[in-house]
Amino acid sequence: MALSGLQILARSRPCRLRACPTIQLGHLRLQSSSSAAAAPQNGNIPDKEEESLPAAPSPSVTLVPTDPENAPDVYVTQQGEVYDQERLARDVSRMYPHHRAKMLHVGQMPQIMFEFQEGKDYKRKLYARYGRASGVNPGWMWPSREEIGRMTGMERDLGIPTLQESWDRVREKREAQEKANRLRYDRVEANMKKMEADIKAFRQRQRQAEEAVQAEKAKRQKVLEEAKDLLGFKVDPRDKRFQELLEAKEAAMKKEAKLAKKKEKEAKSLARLTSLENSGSTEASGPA
Amino acid sequence: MAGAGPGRSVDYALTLLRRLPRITLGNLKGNKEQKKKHNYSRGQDGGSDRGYPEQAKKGSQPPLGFAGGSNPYYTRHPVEWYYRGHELRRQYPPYSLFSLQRNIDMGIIDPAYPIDLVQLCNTKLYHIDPLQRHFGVNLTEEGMHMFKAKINLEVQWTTESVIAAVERNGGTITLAYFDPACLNAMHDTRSFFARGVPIPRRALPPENCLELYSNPKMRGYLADPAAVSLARVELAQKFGYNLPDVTKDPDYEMLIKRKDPRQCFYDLEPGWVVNLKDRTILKPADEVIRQYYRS
Repeated sequence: MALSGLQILARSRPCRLRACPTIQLGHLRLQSSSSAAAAPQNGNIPDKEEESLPAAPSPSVTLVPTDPENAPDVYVTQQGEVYDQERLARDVSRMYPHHRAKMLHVGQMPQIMFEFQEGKDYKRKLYARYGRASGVNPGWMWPSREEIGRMTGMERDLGIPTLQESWDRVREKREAQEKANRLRYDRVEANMKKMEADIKAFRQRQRQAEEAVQAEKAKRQKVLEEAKDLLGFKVDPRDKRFQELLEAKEAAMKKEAKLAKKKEKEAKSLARLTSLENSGSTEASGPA
Repeated sequence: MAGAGPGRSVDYALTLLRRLPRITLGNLKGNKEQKKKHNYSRGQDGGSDRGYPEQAKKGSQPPLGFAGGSNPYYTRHPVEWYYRGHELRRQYPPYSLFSLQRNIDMGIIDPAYPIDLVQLCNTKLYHIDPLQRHFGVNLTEEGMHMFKAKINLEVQWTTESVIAAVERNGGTITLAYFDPACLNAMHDTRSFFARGVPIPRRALPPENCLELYSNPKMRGYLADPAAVSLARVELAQKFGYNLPDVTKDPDYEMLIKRKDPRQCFYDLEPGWVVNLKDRTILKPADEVIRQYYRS
């Protein structure tokens, strides 16, 4: 067995190896030696492997007997890679076996070596890619009953409305919007009808306010003129003398107003008395 | 006749040759492919040093991303206002009637089968990306005057004029909504079938587009078929064309083919698994699973 020039194709693997000691390659069922896989030292190989692979100079490659008696010899590295005679002779690709198997011209199923290959997604992809030949149970394609229960529960929790519920909500929304629009249109129409009158009233109010302002202004001007006449000079409205004058004038005006009120009251009472008198005289004179 | 034979033409050619200009150094020209030599300017007025290789080595070129000029980038360009809710809105990448007609004429799209988003994406000339909130195709009016194909079309967004252009030729059109899970399956069927999962169940449209997809005037897929036939006649009267009678068409069966509101592929039901390797369709046998995909 010419293995003296054997090159170790893969020295280390970045991924985690599957815990299972058996490795599947096509139709062959191989038994990888656990002692070889566990041996960390490169120089120490157990005697059992030495017997089956006497000429192996490489410490990482050990020969493991296969199950059938007449099956060809197969080599398993410490990392669990499998080499047969044909691959040793031909394959110079330096690819990992599980990568090489997936190539189109090789067209083999990749070995199950890693934990992720036991997942549901991987099994589905395997079936999609290799069909019935993958050996995967097609039942993996569909969600399990628990998953369906979880999904329906989630849909229920999300409160996804039925078509009828959606329709009702949309209709309600639309009707509310239409109602609001209609109210607004009515309001606008009613307001438009009285717009001219409103504008007229507004202008009237404006004019009145303006007139009031002007009257106030004239009144103040008049007071100032009077103060000027009295004091003999143009007086500042903040001046103390002007303020005193103003107070005096206001007091006089108040007095005048009071007097006028009194007079009016008297006139009123007089008028009432006279009217009473008149009525009394007429009543008295009536029957007389 | 001997004088007019080949001897005379030879003489004529020779005299012509004598008169033609000679090749001299003065009228020689370089090859067209010849690269023009760049003369580097030198001295005090040597111009810009930007292109000079020695300067590039010295690192005197402006830094990467330097725009130059006195007007900065943020004042040179007009303001782009914030568009509220843009990240939530549904996007419909456009596709014109012109492109559709062209692809039909070139044999890329077969008008003998119903045309939907799957057909358009399978041309690889139209793409949508559901991750970018693309919700399907917006069929635009460009080229509607030269549109001649008689097809059964299913799009996600379009206008009244496009509907008229399709129906004028005896075709039919439907406006259909697909949720992102279905669009994910439809826009790249090969990748979807390679995942080995069942065909998803189509969701109902959200409330803000429910009215559109139930509108017979827009040929919504949830609209009453009787109302749709009435709207077809109305549209023909509005645009002034004679509506061809679909019922008398030899392709009647194809033209009236519609998907179920829960279906996203023609002839394939939700819950089925398509295996491209074995060319088989796997259907679930479990009644719970069937019920889930049916409801």
